[in-house]
Amino acid sequence: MAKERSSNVNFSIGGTAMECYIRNINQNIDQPEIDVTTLCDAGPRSIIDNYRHGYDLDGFADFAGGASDATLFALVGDEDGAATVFQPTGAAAGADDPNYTSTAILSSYNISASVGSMVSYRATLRGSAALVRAVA
Amino acid sequence: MVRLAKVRASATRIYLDAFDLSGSLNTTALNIDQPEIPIPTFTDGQAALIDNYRTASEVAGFGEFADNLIDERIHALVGDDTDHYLLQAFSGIAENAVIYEQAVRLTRKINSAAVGAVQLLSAGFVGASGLYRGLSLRQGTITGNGNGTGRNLGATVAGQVFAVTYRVISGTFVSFDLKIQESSDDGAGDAYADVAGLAQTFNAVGVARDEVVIATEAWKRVVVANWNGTSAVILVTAGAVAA
Repeated sequence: MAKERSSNVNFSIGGTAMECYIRNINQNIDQPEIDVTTLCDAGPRSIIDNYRHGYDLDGFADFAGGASDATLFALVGDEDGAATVFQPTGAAAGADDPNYTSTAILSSYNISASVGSMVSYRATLRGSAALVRAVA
Repeated sequence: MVRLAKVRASATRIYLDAFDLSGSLNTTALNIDQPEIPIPTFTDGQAALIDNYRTASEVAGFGEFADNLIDERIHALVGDDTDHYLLQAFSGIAENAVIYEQAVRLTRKINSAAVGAVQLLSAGFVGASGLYRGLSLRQGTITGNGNGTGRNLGATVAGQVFAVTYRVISGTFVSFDLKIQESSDDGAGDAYADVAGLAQTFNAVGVARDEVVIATEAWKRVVVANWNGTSAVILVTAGAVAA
């Protein structure tokens, strides 16, 4: 079985490779449940509402042209969002190399600095289109 | 001397439908909540009723992305509002082991990556139909017709739901039947007989669940019938659904 080290991950926003600016990334998928249990049910009954997805990123802020700050700040006020591609194995889509693609809008962007450490950022992206898991 | 039966976590096995995810997971939890409805009175300030229970399960481990591994298996439930079957066997799947089985829906999937670490994957599920605490009734490789060992799961009464989950995990075969038989005394004086409504035909790897609400006898066994093939690996669990 192929456990995957995190350093293999590729992630891009609007075609800009972001993995050089990311230290932690989570791809989150949530499917809200709706309780439909009635008096005659032996045990719970639930159905699933439409899913939501998004990304939580953090890393060291890079203020060079085309780097993390320019890429993320460009999404401020942009209601169309940008294309996202998450490659957990770092390879193009294949049977053993899923590529997750979607469009996402910027939900939050935080830059912080404190004495003794690097200027860092945190960002949350919310999916604004279907999430596709491509294996070809 | 009574031996206490603590179980190390490494004995745990997790199946989602017919797929064994145990090789990718290292954490799992089953959460059962029974909301209480307080009904205090002048003479009984602590009185309460219990509302219908709810279940939630979690699994966590390593993200593995090759074909047919955990990422694909769990991601297949995204956007899927049909029943899938989660087996949490905290003490393993050997026959007669206590297991927890329920139909679930996926509520959460998280892929995580952090510098210096291996990629992680976690998922959350909500119970979508009756949970049963039962037994692994038959487990292993079958090569022909035959009877499994009878196990005492306890009798059920009319109106009580008794459920069976059949998994065909792998194999080379054309088709075969799995059915449940019952007896009040493990066949000593009361011969085993088929339980109506508890039988499935398999012609491919897969999973199926049957439920009946008739009275059943305490001892049950899994019978393989109409075998046509070389071999198959099966796992069958059964138990009374918590109501």
